[in-house]
Amino acid sequence: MRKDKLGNWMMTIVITILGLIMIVPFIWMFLSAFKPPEEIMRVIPTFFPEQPTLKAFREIFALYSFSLYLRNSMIVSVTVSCAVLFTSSLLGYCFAKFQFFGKNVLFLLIVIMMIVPFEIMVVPLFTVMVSFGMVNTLASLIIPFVVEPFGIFLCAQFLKGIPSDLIDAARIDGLSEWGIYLKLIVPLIKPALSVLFLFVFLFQWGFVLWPLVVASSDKVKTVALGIVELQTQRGFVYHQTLAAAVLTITPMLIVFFFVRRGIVRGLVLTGMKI
Amino acid sequence: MKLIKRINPKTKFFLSAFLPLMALLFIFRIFPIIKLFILSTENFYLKAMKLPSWIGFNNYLEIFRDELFFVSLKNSVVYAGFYVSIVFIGSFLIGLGLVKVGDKLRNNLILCYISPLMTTIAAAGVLFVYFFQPQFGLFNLILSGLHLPTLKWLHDPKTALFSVAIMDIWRNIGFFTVLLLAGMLHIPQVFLEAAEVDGAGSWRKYWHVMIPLLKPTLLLVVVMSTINAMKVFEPIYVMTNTAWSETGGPINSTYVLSVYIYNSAFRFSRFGFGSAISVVFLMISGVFIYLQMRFMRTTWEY
Repeated sequence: MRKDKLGNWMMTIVITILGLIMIVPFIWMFLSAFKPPEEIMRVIPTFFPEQPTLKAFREIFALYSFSLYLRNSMIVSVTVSCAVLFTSSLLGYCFAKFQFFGKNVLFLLIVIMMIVPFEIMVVPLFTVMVSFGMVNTLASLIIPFVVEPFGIFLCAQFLKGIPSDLIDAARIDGLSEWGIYLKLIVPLIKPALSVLFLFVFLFQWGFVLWPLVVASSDKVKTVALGIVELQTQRGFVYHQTLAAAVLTITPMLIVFFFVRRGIVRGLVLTGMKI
Repeated sequence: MKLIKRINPKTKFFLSAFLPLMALLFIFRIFPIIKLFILSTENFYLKAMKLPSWIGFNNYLEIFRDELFFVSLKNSVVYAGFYVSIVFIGSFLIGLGLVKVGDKLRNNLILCYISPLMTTIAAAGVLFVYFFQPQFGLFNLILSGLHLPTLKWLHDPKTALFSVAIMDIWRNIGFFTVLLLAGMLHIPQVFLEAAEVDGAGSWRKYWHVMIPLLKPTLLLVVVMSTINAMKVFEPIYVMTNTAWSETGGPINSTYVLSVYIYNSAFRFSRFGFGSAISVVFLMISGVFIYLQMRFMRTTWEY
């Protein structure tokens, strides 16, 4: 038994140290973003910035259209996330509580859509955009993602667990169909929706492949593209890329900090439902 | 008009909700897959400004005669092998450790392991490019601090692919850990206690009970991470498309399948050819896609 306890203790220590190692990149990133370029590139490093400066941040806004990129990313991410909440809950409700011709086939298709990598669909999707004449517009960044198979799946699974009697009772009580959706279904599905919002927002915020393909002018480019662009310009502009990384990651980390308990709960729950 | 009023309000709601949204889904998700196959049989050069013509399977023939295809296939497989093994073993061990830990510490540790997922691939990518810098990057600093030989990471064709994989693993391992952990915690305590009563006092007996029950989740992790790794594009693009290296890394060492698709279609404007490669990629990952579907359904059955 003593051997067991020692083993447990060691496991705990290893896991904790590993957990701390996982967040070291964040710490190093924050420390380095505020160092002047000369300090960053020193062979013998400094831990805390000796001459803290906002030079890198100023540069990325001055030399590149980073405020534009941020604006675009915000518009796209928020719009898509909100739209997905609406479409997923609605379609999830339809799949969970209604019977219709071809329901099983369609649901199977949706599951397949969830798993098939986007990289496979880029080329034909781009040609679709070309035929709609929507290339290089914010719309082309938003519209294809308004209906999200994962969202539909999540909401449908969630709603399957809700007894239909509840809905029938609401119907008998005289609630209209849209009323049922708005006043009964949506509140019930809130936990799934918050996970979904975070997931979609994060995905759109950091999406590289599609904006890369579709956005060619600064008016439409997103922050993700901006970061990559920083690297292709000249050789060693690490202070700029670090500043851009901080700018991109910090909002998400702040949101994460506020939502953290909900996430752990939601992940373990949905992990079990999948 | 009278006909419409006679339709069940339930049906009216359903149709007004379902049809428009499914139409969107069809146009932007389902139709492209159909078009993919059609495009793959055409020689569609977008920039040539002329109508594409049907060339049957010529694109496919060209693919299998192209050395670059086999290079990208090899790189994708190597990347996947490395990524999946580390993610699988790592997430299992970490999950196992997290099971035994007290609740509060466990929740905080989960947050630590999940936090890399909160980064965007672009940001994490450039961050790790900085870490991998041979002269002043964090990793070589640590290596030389421990008196170990330093590496050239992204600048060395032998290590570039694995360097990208390291970033990808750092980012994703938390997800798989939580997935496995949820499965582990879901095992009714009764089973484990029964094993203990039967005389199994040590870890090894836990394993004989736990692993068979976990098998569906374990397989799900393997399949999902394989698909993740085979399709990888963004980490590779972000980390090896820089001022000093082309996408595809030094001597094409990070040239993976998705890069092959991207270059063919969007750099050389060969949409037909790019579609054909996508179809081949779909076929290759088709097995894993099917498997993931099957395993997703069985993870909660005991």
